[in-house]
Amino acid sequence: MNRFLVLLTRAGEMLIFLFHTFYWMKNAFKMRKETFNQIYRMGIGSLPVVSLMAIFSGMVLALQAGHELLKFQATQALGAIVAASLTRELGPVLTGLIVAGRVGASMTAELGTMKVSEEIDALKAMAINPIRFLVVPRMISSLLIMPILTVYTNVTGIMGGFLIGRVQLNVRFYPYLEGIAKFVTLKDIGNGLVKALVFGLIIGLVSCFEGFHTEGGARGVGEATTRAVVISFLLILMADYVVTHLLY
Amino acid sequence: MEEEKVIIVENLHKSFGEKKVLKGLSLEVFRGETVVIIGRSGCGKSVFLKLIIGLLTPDSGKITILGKDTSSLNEREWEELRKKFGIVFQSSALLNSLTVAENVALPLVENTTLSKEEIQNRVREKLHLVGLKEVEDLYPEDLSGGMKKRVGIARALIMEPEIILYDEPTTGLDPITASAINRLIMDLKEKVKTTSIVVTHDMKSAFLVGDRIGLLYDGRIVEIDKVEKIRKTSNPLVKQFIEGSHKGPIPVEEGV
Repeated sequence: MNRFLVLLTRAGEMLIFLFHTFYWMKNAFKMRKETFNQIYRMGIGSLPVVSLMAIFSGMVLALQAGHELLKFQATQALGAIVAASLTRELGPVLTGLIVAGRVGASMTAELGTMKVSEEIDALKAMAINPIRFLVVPRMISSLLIMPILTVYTNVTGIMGGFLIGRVQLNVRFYPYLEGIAKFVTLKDIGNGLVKALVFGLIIGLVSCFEGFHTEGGARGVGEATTRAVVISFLLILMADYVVTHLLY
Repeated sequence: MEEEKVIIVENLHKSFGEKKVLKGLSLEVFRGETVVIIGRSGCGKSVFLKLIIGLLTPDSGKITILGKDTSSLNEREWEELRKKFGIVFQSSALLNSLTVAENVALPLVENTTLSKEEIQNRVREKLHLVGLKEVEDLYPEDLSGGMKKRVGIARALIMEPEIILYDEPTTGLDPITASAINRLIMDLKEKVKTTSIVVTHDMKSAFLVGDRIGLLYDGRIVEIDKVEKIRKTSNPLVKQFIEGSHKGPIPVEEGV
């Protein structure tokens, strides 16, 4: 019971933190320099690992689907299968997990270090709201980066799928694209982006919240970072189910 | 004429879980004076400063600053009040992602509408005041501990505060740098005429910079008086502390 209460309190605090963040977004323009800075760091910095992840996901999808399709002489459906899996599900989820692990973890570690070295207290003492100054740029950048990276993952994954289709299943480019165009609707893409946005919110919120609530020294920073990644992962997977349920 | 009381602290209590840190601390600080609070590490000196500036809230007791009862302030009123404070953190607490100049300028950039040139001039002036030059474009990680402290002081001064709080300004510095920091605090008192509270366990520093010295022990100010009188005190607690002896009424062993 006690543990449950602690969990509930934590969730409530996180919700209040989110409201504060939204409230201070009214001053977002003032923080544009730092926001661009964060977008650059998070977005461009994530490209190599996201590229690799996307290519291989597309390749595995094509490999798995291809063998079954060959049996039914239906390899023209390969593009549709790969693209539908990516845009609806794998694109946003995998991108979310990668961003949570890479960007979220570094946000928590950075903010956590600032917390334990009194930098956040110093901001408050200088009458500078730390949520406006530190959280708003990170939240905005997390919200922007996730949909953009998800589109990138989708496109790259589709290319990876084609690579396998071409080499192993002798699928040509035009039919591959045609399959995609026939089966993947704008709604699929839109829904995938809604998911990406929700995951971006989760990553920004959880990472900043855990960073701001770091206690103790280096060990505390480590613990907060681990906690942020684990909570982000779980929330992303749970939110994925809820959003899918609501949208389809 | 009675002197103006800038800060009045009455019967302050603060606990963290089971641990009672402050147990009825009372203190009055007059305009223009420097009060030094001495006490052992972990006795609640930093907590006391954080309570004054509203980074922590007291469990009970009353803090009145510049005539305002702080318990009734909302977040916005707190921010207004905090602009009248400068605080020098023990760890300097400079933002690592900003240069020295950006760190010092930060309160001005965020809280005022001054022009870039005006801000630049003020930053240079404050850095000069704390004895630093040609460090504007360095990052905190490039600085020594003493230089960081000075930058921290420059940042605390940039809003031209009425009250400055120093948290262990000389701790962890070599004796020469520590002496320079002491000199700096004394100079600032002469030049800027601010009211200051210094918490420290460095007795040399306490005697140099303080007008009055108070001992924080067991969650209370057990004695506070003018420097000359504290030197000749008969209070065994204070005596033991200023002599730095392990023998006396203050036990060496500590427990929670």
